[in-house]
Amino acid sequence: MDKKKTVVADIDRSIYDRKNEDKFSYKSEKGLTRDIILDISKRKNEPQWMTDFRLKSLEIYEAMELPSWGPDLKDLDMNHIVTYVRPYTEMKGSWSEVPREIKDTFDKLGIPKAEHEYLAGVGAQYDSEVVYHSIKEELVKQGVIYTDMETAVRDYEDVIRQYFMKLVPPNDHKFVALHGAVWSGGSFVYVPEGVTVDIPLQSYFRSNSPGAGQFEHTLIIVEKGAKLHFIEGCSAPRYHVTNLHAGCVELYVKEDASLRYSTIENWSRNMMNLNTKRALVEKNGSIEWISGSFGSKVSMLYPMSILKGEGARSEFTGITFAGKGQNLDTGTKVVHAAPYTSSTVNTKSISKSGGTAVYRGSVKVNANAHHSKSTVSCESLMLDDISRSDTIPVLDISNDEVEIGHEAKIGRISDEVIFYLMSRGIPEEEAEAMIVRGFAEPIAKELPLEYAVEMNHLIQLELEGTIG
Amino acid sequence: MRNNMVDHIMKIEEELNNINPIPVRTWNWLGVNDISIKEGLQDHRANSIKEGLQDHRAKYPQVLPGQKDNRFARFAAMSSKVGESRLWSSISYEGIGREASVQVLTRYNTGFYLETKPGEKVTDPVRISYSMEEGIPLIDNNAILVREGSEATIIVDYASMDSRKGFHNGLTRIYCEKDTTLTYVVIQKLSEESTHLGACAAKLEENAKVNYVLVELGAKYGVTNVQTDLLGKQSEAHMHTVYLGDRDRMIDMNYRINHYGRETKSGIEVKGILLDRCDKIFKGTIDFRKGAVKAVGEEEEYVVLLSEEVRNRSVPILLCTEEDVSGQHAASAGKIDENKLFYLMARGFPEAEAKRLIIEAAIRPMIDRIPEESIQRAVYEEVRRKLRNE
Repeated sequence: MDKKKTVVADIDRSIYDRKNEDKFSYKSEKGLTRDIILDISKRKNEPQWMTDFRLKSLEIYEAMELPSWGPDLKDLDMNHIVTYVRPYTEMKGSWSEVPREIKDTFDKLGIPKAEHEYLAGVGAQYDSEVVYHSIKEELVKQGVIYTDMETAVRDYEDVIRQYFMKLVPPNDHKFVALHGAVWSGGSFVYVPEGVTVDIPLQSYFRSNSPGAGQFEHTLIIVEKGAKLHFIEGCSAPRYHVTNLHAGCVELYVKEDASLRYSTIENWSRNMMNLNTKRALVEKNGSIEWISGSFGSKVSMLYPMSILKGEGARSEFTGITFAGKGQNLDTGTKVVHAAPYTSSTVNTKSISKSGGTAVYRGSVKVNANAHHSKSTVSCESLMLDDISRSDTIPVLDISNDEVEIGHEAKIGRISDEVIFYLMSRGIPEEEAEAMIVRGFAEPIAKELPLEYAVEMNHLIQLELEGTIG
Repeated sequence: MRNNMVDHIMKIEEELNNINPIPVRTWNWLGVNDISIKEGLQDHRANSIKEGLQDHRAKYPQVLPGQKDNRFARFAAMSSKVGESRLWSSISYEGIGREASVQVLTRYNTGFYLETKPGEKVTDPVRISYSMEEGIPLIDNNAILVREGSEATIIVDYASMDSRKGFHNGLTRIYCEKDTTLTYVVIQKLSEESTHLGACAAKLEENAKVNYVLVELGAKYGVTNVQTDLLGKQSEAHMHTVYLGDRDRMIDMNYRINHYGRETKSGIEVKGILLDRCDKIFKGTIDFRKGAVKAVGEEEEYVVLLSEEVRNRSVPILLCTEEDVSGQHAASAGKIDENKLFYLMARGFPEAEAKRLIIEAAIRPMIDRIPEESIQRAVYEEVRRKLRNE
């Protein structure tokens, strides 16, 4: 007798798939040339060093090869990606001034409402530029800076020059080089020494233009003893052409500071999400990543923690849900570069309807990092036999005074558990739904409320039982 | 004649690049996708396989038993008639690398062929000893055909007769028919400066079982590749590996188990000890192919690190395209358990002795699987010698 199969429906994307008419005040030519870059830089009124940085990055980009591993990127034709789309509005400090159509989009996504209810500050980016930024008054008084990157380059030029793409240099890989050349938008956060920002800041990135690239840059500096929770959200409507997202996130966590960086990524399924995120953690500092990957056609996303100072800690909690036509290659990298550092990695992945979910990770313990500890745990759930789930971790240890543990599991929803729940009177579909929710629960509980809601919405799995 | 032996060695290239690749690539900076070593393939001077075999047999008469062994359908030196037959050429396997495999298949100077009798269970192990002398390249081509319903145990050891730098490149192809059990033991203790390339590919039919016991103790470069295809329903592969890496050795182990059949089972259990400046990479892949319903695969590696200068890399890969499977892997690494050490030292054991006892206890479950006591003793002796840093 064939086993009973439960069909898990695809995520309803209708609210994300709203697309607005492609309105813009300026759009760069398709493809990538020196002239386009000079043009972007000029329009942004940038200092010369930034223009030079962009041109240098372009050279690196042109010289570099595509990665020799990971998902197939052949659908990505840079000559057809528009690198810069300026929306038809300037940046606003008041939500009511944001053009109605753009505002509606963010309203539908629940962004400004969340601001009033849960957030200390909000930034909203529409295509290449930030259209809205706000921050609570009391934080400004404490010296907290939360602004878009363009403003930061002008108003805090020295700081930006000192930190910008120093942690993720353009020669890191091809798409970072591309980012260095064409970056636009993003947020800059500075939390001064000893300041605790107890309610989260949030930036939301929305890509509306078809065939466009989004290349926002997020730079966060959390000074000595300071604390911050930052939330990043992303989505885009679906088009039939390939969009590219090659953002870059650089996080500097100083001595005794702590930063929690949460992301629920839900790009539309024509998006190539080739994003680079990295944190540098000083003595006794801590970085906590919470990362949910639901959208995009192809993702290559591996937030990296460099534990540079003695006693630095990192924690990575990730969930990846790959459905039809998706290849989500996600994971994390940790480098233990100082003694007494510790890292924890906890990931879950679900694949269904022909989707591919890959956990790719690495833990490197340098020769000087004695008394370091690392625990990695990966779990994968296959919901059918047309999907794919791979686990590709690497441990690289160069010190003997360490405690390193890695474990991974792969499997299906166990018949025994289903049977147990059914024997307690729970219908089969509901039993399966409970198990899938339970599988994701450790991640959901780490999220702030509104994001847990968004994630639940994304895992809103319609289960219909099919018998026989 | 001895004086001419140097003439038997022919260096082909200076180095081997990008060999022993993992099934799926990852970041290049970790250096685990493949490896390159500073030794190239070496060959002997013989003009043909026949000449090579004669040459080799003249020097190493101890490899194969002199008289006919009636317990087997055939147990003899490898011949081209066997090696190129349809069955064996159907095992397409690049092993460590195409060049290395081609060298074995076209230039071997030794090797055995063993075919069991259907239904015949041979409990006594068969021993094959390959020893390198005067650094003459040892290129062995082996094949094992386990006929339906039979059982066999084969112990192969690779050793050096002297401390000279040697070159070994070997390939063993295994085919197990229905309802069979094969225990295949390989003990590698080549001299310190030698290069060891050891490849093994196996195909299993329904309800066939292979138990591997692999002991890696010698050579400067120890590069191994073992691939097992679990084709038939309920076929099983269990790998038990012990390695001891010391000095400046480079150990690169690359195991792959492909689950094709329903209810197939696999286990990879690896225990290692790293000393001095040893650089070790363990790559273990369990691949659940579509159709491998109810397959179970487990992989575990445990490494004891005894020096702060070692480099220990592990890549435990799980690949899966079938939902109804269960796969697990675990890897752990750390120093010797301080509590155990303290306990033993408090009872009067000197530190070195206490360490030795703990290490021997850790590898004992694997060594105990070697079906011959004299070999077990020799392995312990070799481990002790290395721990004493001799």
